Amino acid sequence: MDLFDEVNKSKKDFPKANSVKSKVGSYKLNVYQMFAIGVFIVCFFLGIVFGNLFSTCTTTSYFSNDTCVVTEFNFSIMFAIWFISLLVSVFIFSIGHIIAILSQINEKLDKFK
Amino acid sequence: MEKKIKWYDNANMITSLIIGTILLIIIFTQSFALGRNGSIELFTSIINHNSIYLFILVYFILIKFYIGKRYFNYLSVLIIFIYFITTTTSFLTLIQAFSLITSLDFLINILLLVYLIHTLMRDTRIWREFYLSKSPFNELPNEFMFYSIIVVSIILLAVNLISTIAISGVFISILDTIYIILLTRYIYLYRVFLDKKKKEVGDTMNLEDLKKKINEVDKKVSNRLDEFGKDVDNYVKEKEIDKKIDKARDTVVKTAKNVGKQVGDVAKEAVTDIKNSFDDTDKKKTTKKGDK
Repeated sequence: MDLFDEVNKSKKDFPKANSVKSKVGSYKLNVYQMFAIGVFIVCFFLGIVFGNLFSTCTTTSYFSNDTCVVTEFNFSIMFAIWFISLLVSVFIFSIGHIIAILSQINEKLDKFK
Repeated sequence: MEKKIKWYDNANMITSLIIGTILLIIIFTQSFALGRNGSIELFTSIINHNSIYLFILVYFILIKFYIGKRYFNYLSVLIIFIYFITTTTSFLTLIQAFSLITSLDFLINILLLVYLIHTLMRDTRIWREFYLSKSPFNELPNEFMFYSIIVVSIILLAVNLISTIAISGVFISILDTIYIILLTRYIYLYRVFLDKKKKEVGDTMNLEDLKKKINEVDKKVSNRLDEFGKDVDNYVKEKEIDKKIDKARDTVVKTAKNVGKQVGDVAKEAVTDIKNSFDDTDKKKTTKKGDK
């Protein structure tokens, strides 16, 4: 059987935009979680800027290897910044999540008093 | 008899060739870089030159398995995102070092990105909800996109071959062009498949066929409902549920009657008691007046 026939038989379509919107909208974020998302967005663009600022050398001069003739976008710096920012933002987000759970427990305990 | 498909029309063959080409590119670039650099420099070189190839390799390996076929649309979003990054970075490279090579590279990337979005997202929910069918690029025919990318990639190959000073550059630029042509062929074949599927549906399914199909489904559903009703009747008979319900109804009626009688008796007694008490007070009042 053709590859695309197999794909067509088993492929799953995307969820509806409205259902995704309502699901995301129903999830309330606290300050820490919003800060974590903000950090990741800022670092995402920062990675692209740094990758462009500290470009790599693709072709050196025929006469001297120290002289760069053609520069190229630096993917390694970009991915490094993305990866580190992902770890940092996941850490902050998880702290925010723990705080949210603890405050929920506190609210429930207050009701029993 | 099954028609024999040529290798360039076979999507399975094209994906296998893409996997092979990417592996060759990675091996070649690293083997050329091996003698010159240390291990860290080699690793950064892999990320710098082969990160996109590695992502595409993962995509095409996943496509070979069931999970990749099941989440084909999600993987399509991934490949579009990868090419979006590549296009952005090639634009930044174009600003840094403006030359014929960088401008051709940017042109290929932007053409591939447009082609990917307008082919892989076709007939999905994103296509319908974001009205991608109204996009002006959608009017460009499949053949035009395919041949324009191939022509630009061959021009880029020629420029690369002229400007390169090392044998490694020759190998890598040839392999890169082969990879771009194969990827474009893969996208072209997917769009041909989608158009063919639409045409088949349009040709074979006329109004009469649709009516017949709806009638068939309607009959099936009504038969199933009848069967379900019979099953329910049998179950009721088997478990004697109707008798139990009748019994319960009789007992409820009897108890209601009894309760009604009892309530009536109690009410009568209460009324007579009240009457008696009124009579007693009247009698007392009349005797008091007589005494005075």
